[in-house]
Amino acid sequence: MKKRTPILLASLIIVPLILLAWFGVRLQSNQQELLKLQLGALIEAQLSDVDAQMVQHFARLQDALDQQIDDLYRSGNFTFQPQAIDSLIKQSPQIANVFVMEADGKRLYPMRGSELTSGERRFLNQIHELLATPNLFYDKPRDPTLVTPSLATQSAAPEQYLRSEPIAAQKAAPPQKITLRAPAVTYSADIVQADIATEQVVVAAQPQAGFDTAASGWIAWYADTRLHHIYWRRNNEGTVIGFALNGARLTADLITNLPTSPIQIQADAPLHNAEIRLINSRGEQIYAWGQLAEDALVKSSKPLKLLPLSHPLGSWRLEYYAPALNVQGASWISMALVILATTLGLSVIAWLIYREYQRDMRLAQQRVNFVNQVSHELKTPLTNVRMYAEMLEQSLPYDPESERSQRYVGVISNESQRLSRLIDNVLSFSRLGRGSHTITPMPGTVADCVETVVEHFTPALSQRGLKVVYSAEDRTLVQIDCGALEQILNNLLSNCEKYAANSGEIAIRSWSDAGMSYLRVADNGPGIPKADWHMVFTPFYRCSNQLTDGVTGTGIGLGLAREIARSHGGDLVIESSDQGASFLISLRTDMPPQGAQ
Amino acid sequence: MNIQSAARRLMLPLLAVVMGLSSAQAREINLTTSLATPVMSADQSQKTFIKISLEGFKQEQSEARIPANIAIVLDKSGSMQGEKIQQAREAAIMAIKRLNENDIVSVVSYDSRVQVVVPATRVSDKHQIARAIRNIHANGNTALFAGVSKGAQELRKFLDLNKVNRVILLSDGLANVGPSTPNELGQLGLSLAKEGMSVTTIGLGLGYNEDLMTQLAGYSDGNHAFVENAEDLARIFQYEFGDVLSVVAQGVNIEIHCKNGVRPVRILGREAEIRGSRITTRMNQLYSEQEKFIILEVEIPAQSEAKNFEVADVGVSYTNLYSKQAQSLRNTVLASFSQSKKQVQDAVDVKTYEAAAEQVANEESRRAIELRDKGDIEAAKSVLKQNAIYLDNLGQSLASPKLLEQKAEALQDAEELESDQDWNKKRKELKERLYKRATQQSY
Repeated sequence: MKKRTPILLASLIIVPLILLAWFGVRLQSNQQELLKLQLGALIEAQLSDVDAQMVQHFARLQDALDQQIDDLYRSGNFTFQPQAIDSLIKQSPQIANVFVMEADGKRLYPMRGSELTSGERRFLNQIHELLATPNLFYDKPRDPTLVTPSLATQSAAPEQYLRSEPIAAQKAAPPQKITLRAPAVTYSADIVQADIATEQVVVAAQPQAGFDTAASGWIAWYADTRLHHIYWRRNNEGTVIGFALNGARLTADLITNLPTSPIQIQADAPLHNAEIRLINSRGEQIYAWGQLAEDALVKSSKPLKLLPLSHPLGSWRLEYYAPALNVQGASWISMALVILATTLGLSVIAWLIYREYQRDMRLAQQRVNFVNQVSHELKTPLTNVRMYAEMLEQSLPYDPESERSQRYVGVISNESQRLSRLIDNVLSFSRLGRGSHTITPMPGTVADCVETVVEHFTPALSQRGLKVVYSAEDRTLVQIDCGALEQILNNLLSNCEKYAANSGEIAIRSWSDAGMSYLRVADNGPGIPKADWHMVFTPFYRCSNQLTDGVTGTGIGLGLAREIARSHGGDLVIESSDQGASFLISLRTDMPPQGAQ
Repeated sequence: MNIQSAARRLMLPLLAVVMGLSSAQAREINLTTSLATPVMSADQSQKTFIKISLEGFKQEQSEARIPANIAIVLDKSGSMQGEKIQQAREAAIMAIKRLNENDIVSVVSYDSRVQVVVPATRVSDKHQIARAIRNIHANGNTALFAGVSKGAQELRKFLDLNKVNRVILLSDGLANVGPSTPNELGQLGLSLAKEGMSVTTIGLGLGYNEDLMTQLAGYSDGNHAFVENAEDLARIFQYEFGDVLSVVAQGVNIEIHCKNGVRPVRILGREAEIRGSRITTRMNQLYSEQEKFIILEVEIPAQSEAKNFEVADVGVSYTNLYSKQAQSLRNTVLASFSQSKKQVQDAVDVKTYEAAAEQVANEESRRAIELRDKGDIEAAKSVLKQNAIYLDNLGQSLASPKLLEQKAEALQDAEELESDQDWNKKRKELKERLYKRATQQSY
């Protein structure tokens, strides 16, 4: 009882704490997961933005190239003039080379037969295979990002060409125009306009007659371990014009479109503590921007997010680098604080409860002590009352005159005996509670003890219409604490007296078996309802029904009797019977005499 | 303020008068074409050299200088730490002090990423620009390509063919982020040149890739310099700015048309396009009073004795920055054929021949470097020794101290080729020297 209280109190603290901690951890991890997802979505949006920018760049490039094609076509009276193409290549920063091929595969530019420059020869070498597969410019690729040659029987388009449709018109207005042709100087002695550096090129153009807008697209392929881009367009006669872009310039333009990094780390700037890298098809970093610190850069060797770019930069990708997410540091601290506060609060409450409990315990103890003291104080005068009552009974003459006095004295004697039993019970109970109740077995017979008790009870029982029938099957000498057995029987019989009045016979039978002595006490009274069986031994419990109404009692009798029986190595149990209550007492009676217990 | 504006008001008509005078003089680029052997032996096919020389006219002190649009691209990678970055900062600041508020400057720095330190701006508050530059601290990798790309973008904001548009790149390390092959950088240079920008590359220390730097400069017709010690940076920046501020013509296109069966063999030292008998090449700019020339090697078919044989037509077009006009020049290269050895011998144009020999030897040295790169030290040595003999012969016969000096150089190069330890530095020196000789760089 005393140990259980602190354990209970401790669990009062610990259980909520564990629950709180568990919920806290769950909450935290959920929140972290959520944050991660949100961050992931944010990063992806950022990367997609960049991708869109790249696509937009290609779209602008495509517009500018289309414009050039229209100009070339128109200025050459609906043919391509080699001189015009020459001068375009010479002036355009973006275009490295141009080829024109007729429907039958005949090359119009760079011109056949005429002398080629070394650069043109290199270029033709590079695109030799490309020109040998004219269906690259005809069949539509099934998948805009992919490659499959559709005509297997014909010379199939080689796998290395990544083809795509022209880039669809972009919704957003292009923020900057691409001037494909560098402002030209007109070679005449006449005075030309002083401001030559104005934009000459991009004029709004209607879809040109002779050109089917659908018949155009991008081809990207690898040669010399580098990605090359060609934009081609086919007119209605099947003549294809292709622009090979200056790869380095294209890269530089893409870089130019991307943001720069701040000089000093700024907390509020975008990409604080993060970096985006543009990675080419060979896995090399082309460009990086952001403000990830150099040491963090070393640590985060794996990108948080990866986004492959759209065609025509199909094999390139964007990588997002940032240190692993650990924003929850602060919330862990607050979490720990909450747990600490809860612990403190609960501990204070538990301590207060414990103190209250201790005080109550002390109070109860004082009361018990008081009852003990009183009982002791009562015992001595009661003994005197009994003794003198008995002496008086014996000294009274045996005549009708004194019969009345005789009866009075008998009542006094009986009642004082009852009182002393009650006091014995109280004292035994408190001794049991203190654990100082001892059993002292002495040689004796069970029957002697029982007969003593029965003899004591006979007057009181007969007054209430009861009669004890005792049958002893065994009268051997055993080791028994007669006082203890008497106290058990006292309790049982006084219960019978209280609750089973006028029910006739109380049968007591005793026997012994294998070192145990058994006693069965059975009455013919109303009995104990089965539902109460387990409760009747509980101290201070009294069955509440019409039977017990109006009957006084302490409620400790049966419990005490069982405790005494148990400390005598036996037990006291209720047995089921057809009529009335039946108790079985078992005692260990082969114990060595006194002291070994 | 009032006095100043009054002075300006007074100055303006004066300036107009001066300008009027100068444009009345119609100052032009001086084009001279000459043949190394103006008189050739008849009845035999032979090779000879044509020199096409262009010289910028003189800048007058009184007239307003051509405004410059300069992007300084500084390497601030980890290897620049310490004295290097400090010197680079100071050199840039010193050089910017020479500009005035008509000029535009931008400063871009790069490590593994690119930062725009000073966005393209008019040079009015030099202190603020200097402050921003002093904020550059070195660490990280070398994203050279991206740095140049962004530098060019800053130029583009005020791109004007009537300005001198130039990126000045300073790097001390290998480009290890982004495109890094000499070819790719060359392509970028070519593309920028088409827009009217040129890139000057300054290699600092012994860590940079000289091929990449010379390609980038070469294709965009900028200057190139190898600076071993950071203290020399200030000087080089001053030279470079001097050059930039003395540009008189831009967008120089040269077209040579060989006639009468004359076959062009090669252009020495510069990039050119040869299509049949037509050769086209370009220079981004011409500087005041500086001679730039092109040496064309041609093969002339056998001719009978003749005079005024037309070898080639040379056409040059350019933008005169002072008159803001597109101008063009034309010249015809003439040759004679004679049976007389004496006549042929006497007619040799020493200056032209000297320049041609210089370039031929330069090309040979280039070949020697290539051989040395392949590890064939002996072959490289023998090329240089052959070169020395060639230079010696010509130097003696033309009585040219310049060629003899070059011969001594070639011999010394052959000596110093061997050591693996010093090769890195030697190669940078060689590359720089070859580049300067090929482009007639002023410093």
